[in-house]
Amino acid sequence: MKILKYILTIIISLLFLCGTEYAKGQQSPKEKKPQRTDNFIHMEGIRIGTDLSMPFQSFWTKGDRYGIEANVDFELKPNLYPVAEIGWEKKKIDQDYVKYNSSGSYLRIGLNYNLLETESKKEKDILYIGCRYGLCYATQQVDSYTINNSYWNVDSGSFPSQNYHCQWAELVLGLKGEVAKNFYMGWSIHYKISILNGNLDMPKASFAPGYGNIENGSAFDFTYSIAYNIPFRIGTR
Amino acid sequence: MNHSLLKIFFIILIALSILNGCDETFDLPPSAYSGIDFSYSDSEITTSPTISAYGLGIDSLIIDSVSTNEISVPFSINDSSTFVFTIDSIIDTLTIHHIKTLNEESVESGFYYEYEITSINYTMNRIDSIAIPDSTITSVWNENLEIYINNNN
Repeated sequence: MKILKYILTIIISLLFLCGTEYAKGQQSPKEKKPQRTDNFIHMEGIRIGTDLSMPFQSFWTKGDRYGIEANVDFELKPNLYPVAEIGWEKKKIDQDYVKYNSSGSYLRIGLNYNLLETESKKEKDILYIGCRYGLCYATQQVDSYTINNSYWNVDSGSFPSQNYHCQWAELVLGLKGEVAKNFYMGWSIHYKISILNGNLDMPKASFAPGYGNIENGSAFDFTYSIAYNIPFRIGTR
Repeated sequence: MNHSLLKIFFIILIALSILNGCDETFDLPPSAYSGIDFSYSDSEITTSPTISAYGLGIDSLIIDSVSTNEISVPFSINDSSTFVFTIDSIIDTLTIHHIKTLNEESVESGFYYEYEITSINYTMNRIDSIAIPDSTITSVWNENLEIYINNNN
C-alpha cells in the first residue's frame, strides 16, 4: 500500500512539473516592460486553493495521516496577504501496543508578507514569510492498548472517546508561482508552536488536526498547494 | 527563478518522504522493573552471591546462576508478585504486594504500569532481612529492595 502511495505521489508531482514547464513554454515572448511607479507585485481579487500534500501526510508522519484543506488569500495592501486555511484531518495508529485514532477540523488565520519585487506588472510570483494562529476541535480514542509485560501476564485496555481543542502559532516561509494565467502552485514550510494541547489527563491529546503531533511542543510541517486567482478589484487601489 | 525553487522543494519533498516513509517503526512502551540489591549481613564478605530467580508459576528464569549483587525483576499486573530465589544454592521465596498505576509514555509508543510496594513477605533460609529503600518502581532503574544474606551454609 505504501509503495502504491509513493508511486502515486511521484506520478502526480511529475505531472505538475511537466505542467509547469509546459505552461512556461506557452507564455508569449516578453513584451516591452511597462513603466512602473513602484515595484510591488499585485494580485487582484482573491486566490482560492487547496493543499495537495494533505492526502500524503503519512509519508512524513508516523501512522496513517490524511485530510483535506482549502485556503484563501487576497492582497490587502502591497505585499500583505491575509490568509485563511480550513481543513479536516484524521490520524490512525495501528501498532502492536496501541490502536488509536483521532480526527477533527481546524482553522488557521494569518498574514503573508511578500519579499519579492518586480519591474514587470505581469510578474505574479511571490516569496513570502508569514504567521498563523491555528485552532482545532478534535476527537480521539484509544481503541486498545497492551501493556508490554512479556514475563508475567499481558494486560490490555482501552479509553473511550475524548473531545478536545488545541491552539498553536506558526511561522511560515513559502512561495507561490503563477504557472498559468491565474493558476498558482507553491510550497510552504511551517514551524508550529503549541499554545494549548488539549488539557487531557490520560491519554493526553496526541494529534491535533492542522498541527500534527501535539505531544511535542513544536513541529515542522510543509504544504504543496495549487490555487486559482479570481481576479476582481477590491476597493479603489 | 521561483519555478526553480518549486523544483528544488519538490525534490526535497520526495527525498524526505522516502526517508521518513521507510521509518514506520514505533518505540516499545517502557517497563517498570524493581531493582534488587544483594549483600551479605557480614560486611566483611565482599564477594557476590550466585543467584537464580524466577516468578512463581512462570517457567522461564529471570536470572540463571549469575554471580551478581543486583538484579531487576518485573512485577505482575496482579496485586502481588512472588519470586523464588536460589541464593548460593539455597532457596528462598519473596512475595511483594504492590499497587499499580497506569502511565502513558506517548500514544505512539504506548502505556505501562508503575508500582508502589505496600508490603513484603519472605522466607529466611538464606535471606537475613530485607530493607525497602524506595518503594516506588518506575521506568527508571532504582534500588527498591536491599536483601541481606546470612552467611550460614
